[in-house]
Amino acid sequence: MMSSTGTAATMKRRVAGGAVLAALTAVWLFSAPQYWLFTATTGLTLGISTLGLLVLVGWAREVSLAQAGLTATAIYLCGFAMRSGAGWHWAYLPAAAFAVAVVVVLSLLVSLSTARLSGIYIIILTLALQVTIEKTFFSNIKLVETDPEHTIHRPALFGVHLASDRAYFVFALAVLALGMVFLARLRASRFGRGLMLAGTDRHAAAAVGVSPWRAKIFAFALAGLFAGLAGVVTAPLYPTPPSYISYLSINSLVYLAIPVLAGFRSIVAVAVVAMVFSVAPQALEHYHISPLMLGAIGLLSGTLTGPTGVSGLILAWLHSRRRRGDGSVDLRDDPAQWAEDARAERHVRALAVLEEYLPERSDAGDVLVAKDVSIAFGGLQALSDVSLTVPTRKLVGLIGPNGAGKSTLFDILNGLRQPDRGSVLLFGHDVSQAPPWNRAALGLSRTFQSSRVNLDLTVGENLMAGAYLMIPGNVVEAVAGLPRARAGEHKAAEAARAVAELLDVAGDWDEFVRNLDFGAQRRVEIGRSLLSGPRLLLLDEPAAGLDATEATALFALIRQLEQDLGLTVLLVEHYVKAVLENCDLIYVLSRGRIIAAGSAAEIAADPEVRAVYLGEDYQPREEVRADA
Amino acid sequence: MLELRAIRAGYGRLPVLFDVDLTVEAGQWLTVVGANGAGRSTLLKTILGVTNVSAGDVMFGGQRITHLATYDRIARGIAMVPEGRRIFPNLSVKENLRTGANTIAKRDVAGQLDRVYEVFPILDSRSGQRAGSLSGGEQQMLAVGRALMSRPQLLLVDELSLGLAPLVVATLTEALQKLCAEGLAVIVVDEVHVHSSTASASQRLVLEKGRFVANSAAEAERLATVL
Amino acid sequence: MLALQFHSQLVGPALVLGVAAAGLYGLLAVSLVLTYRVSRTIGFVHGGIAVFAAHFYWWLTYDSGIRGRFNPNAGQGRVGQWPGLLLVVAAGALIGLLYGLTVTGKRMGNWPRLNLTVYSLAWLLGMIAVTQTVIEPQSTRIPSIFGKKVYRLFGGVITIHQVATLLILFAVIALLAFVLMRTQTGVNIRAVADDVEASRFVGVPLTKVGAGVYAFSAALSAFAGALVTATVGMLVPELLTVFLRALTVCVLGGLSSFSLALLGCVLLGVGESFLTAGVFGQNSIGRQEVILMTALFGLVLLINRLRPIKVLEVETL
Repeated sequence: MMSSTGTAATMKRRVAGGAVLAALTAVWLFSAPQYWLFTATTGLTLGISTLGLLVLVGWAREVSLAQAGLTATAIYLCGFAMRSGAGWHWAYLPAAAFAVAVVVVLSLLVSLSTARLSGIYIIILTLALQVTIEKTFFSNIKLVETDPEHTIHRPALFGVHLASDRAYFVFALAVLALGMVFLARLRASRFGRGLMLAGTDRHAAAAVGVSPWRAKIFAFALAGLFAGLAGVVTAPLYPTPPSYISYLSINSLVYLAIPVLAGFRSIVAVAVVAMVFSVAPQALEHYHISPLMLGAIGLLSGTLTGPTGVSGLILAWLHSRRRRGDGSVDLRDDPAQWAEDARAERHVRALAVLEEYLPERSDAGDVLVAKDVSIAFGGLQALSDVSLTVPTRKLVGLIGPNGAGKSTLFDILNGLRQPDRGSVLLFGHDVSQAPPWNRAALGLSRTFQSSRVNLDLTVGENLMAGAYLMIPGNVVEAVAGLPRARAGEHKAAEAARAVAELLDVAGDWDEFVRNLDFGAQRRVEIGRSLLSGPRLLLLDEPAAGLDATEATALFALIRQLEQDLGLTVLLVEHYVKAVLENCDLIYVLSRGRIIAAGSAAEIAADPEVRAVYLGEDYQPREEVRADA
Repeated sequence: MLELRAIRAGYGRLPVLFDVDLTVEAGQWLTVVGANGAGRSTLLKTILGVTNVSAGDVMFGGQRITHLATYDRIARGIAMVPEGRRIFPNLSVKENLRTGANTIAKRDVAGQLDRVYEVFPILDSRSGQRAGSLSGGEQQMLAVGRALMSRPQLLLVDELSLGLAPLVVATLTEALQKLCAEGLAVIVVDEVHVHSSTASASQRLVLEKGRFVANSAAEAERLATVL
Repeated sequence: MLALQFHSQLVGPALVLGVAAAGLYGLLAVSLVLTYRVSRTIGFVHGGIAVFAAHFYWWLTYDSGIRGRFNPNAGQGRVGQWPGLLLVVAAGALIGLLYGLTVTGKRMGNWPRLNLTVYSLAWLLGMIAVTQTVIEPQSTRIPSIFGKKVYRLFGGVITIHQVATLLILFAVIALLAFVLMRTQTGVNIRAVADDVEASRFVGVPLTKVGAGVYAFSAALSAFAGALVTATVGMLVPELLTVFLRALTVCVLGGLSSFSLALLGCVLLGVGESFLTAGVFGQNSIGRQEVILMTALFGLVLLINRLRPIKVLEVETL
């Protein structure tokens, strides 16, 4: 379950593995004693609940300490609704729907009030929710009392009566399997990718059009949904309400340990670990291993392995084994002439694919206009009355010494910061107050000075994360694989491959970005921003970490993107030679002010620029770019 | 005094510095220039012991310090002025200076404070002021003063002139030159286009993608115009 | 269902009681704020230490070790109360030292904050797991180490236990203020709180500072854990509720401000006692919890509104 693209062989292996697993389960099912069936069923429900935590903790990187309490809430509410006597005596499905709805609403309440705050508030608020649940729901006699006269009975679903423990086990297994399939489809869709990006790097997510707040709220809702599902699957398992002793705040910590131990890369691993946590204390009874101990070990191992968890270690080991056996030739090193021609041809084709992918936008007017932008922070006036115009289809350079405020200006243009004064117009729209994701939707994309790529994902996965805005369809369409979403995914994947080809990382499509060199990581980031369908690219030091040859090649590509694809580019750079040779218009920023603006020849000759940045004895060695 | 032999260092799996050799003697001023991402800060952090070395040796005063902790290297006489100054904004000027004095004997602190005030008199007049309210130039002086508190023999400076007015940079350079004449070794790393700090350098090296590509002043000048 | 009555005549005594009760929260709050400032992560480990301390204190001073012979009034423990308290605080300090050494070492010093938070949670869970396995929890309260004297003040009744806790808290705050403002150690701690990386660059002994701060904070938490056995008892859910409440009020000051956290403790103590004393009429425990939590969080969110946070400039966990 590593990448969203699987070869036929991998599929066959998976189907075979699944069949074997199913056969083994069936054999066990009919030979195991009852208490084992029971334990295994609770393991399945634990798995369902912790799948929700996988989304929240593993993908969105937020810690919730309320999952056990929420699960229990669903158990008690569902049971109460189904029970006769003090309860409402409803049928199973309406009772279940009610319970799940309440739990989802509780999750949403928590997330809506804290989405914009730092993660600290989320942890504490979820813990508070857990404690509040304990003091309200768990203390409510009507919900938790054991009344032998009013029991609930196992329901009948789709004509199948689930009275026997075996049947119930299969039912729970089916729900778990459905949940896993749902998450797998979600992860392969733009929503899953957007969620993961928002979890690892909010700024990068915002820059490609994902609102981190909405992503977190979505993750919380899903966590609540799965907690609710786990609860309503558990409720009919017991004729009378179960003791709440397994659903206290400590248990929420144990729940947390499961996705932390399993790792965010594998959905199957979470279910397996949940099973182990349920079964092991029973199996190893005379060793007195409490679930709490397992939870502590799980959390501890999670900190040592990092977010990829144990499944990440296993996958990395398999990956390295496969790489060692791989004798493919790196086409870049091949000096043969035919390889060069083939490469050029692929390049042309890739450009064509990318051109079709990028959206049409009018060429009229200036793409970006910043007027009198000023901002001060930390006692420093970072920018004073900065005005900048980026004309359409031009390559504009922004140079200046370190600390001049170039990245700050980018932050303001991109929406990560609000200026104290001044305005920003993008394609004619006033976006001064607009958040980055809205600007991305208008066609602005940006890279960062320190490459904000996800080191734990492959090149392909990183690139695809950028295509969030370009793939149509809502969550239901994406998960169900309806035509519109599927076509969009396919188109995005093609464009991603094309971008990888243009940026010279096609050979590393399945490689973890962590293993690439710095320059390649930066190119992946540029690629990701290209996939968001921009008309204006803001590049923050794209050539940092590259030597002169690679920098020249990168600039040549940027020129190609500008000329052949009609992109407008504003870049910050320190490679003055490259800027002077390639840019149509250059701004020089020093200590928060624009000290010069004009063509390359004008900039190179400007006395103040020479004094402050280039050096008095600066002599451009080659022809600077003539006025466009 | 300081010698780097075939150093390979970096973060995680990929090295940032490859096969770096370096020698600095007492009273020398070495300037290392390079583009962003070339490995400038990593070089200084390797000398200071903040970044791990995967191959090669760091020698200081004839002794191997390759795997010595940062605190111990400072005690031996290496000090750093970090990139962006990194003074402690919520501490006073005097308290900031005192944070640099952890490796010297308590009885020497007062004397060392006086010596720093001599080099930067403005710090004396602002000694009780909250450091976050100082101007950029004053903060840089404070950062240098803080580094001097540990009585270093080698001073590492990461981007001396970041965002500072030329006049301030001149004052700082002058102060450092005086100390250099008294025997302090200085390594300044800066970006390519800043020429003020290199004027006082007795040696200038160019760092590109983790390797030194120029070892003479003339060659360095030529390369600077290319970059 | 949402209507609350108000009984003004109960305010006076409840106020007194509330301030007195704030002492315990204050001890926990100081330890949480101190470790947060130095590490920028929530010290969940202190919850574990408090739980451990409560059980260990009981085990030392009241558990006679003979099965079935439990007499909470006899004090037939392994050691006396004061030696027991000392041992518990020392044990807490040792655990804190161990934790601090692992967390400030060079390898872990570079971990992202999410990892460190999960690590802290791991210790919380681990300590509770070990404690519960080794020492069987008792649902009882232990007589206070300070005796049973009570005082009357403005119509309210406060115990010597609460007074002593408050006095100790004041002493701790005074000590902390002195150390932070007037010693080299204090300068180092404040430097680390400002900028950990820069502290490393200039020669602040990070391991010593970090481990020391954690040891001291852990000693405070252990002390609080031992004291809380007289008011709340030993049951883990109750202890964790106390810990959570203290944590919540620390958030009032963004976990970095001692004064705001202590103010929060007073508000919390007063709020709690108002609810239990019936100032707002008779409410069930569940309702009290909801009211308290909502009020606390409303306050937290309100304070956050007052300090403007610009769109994406909040720090991640």
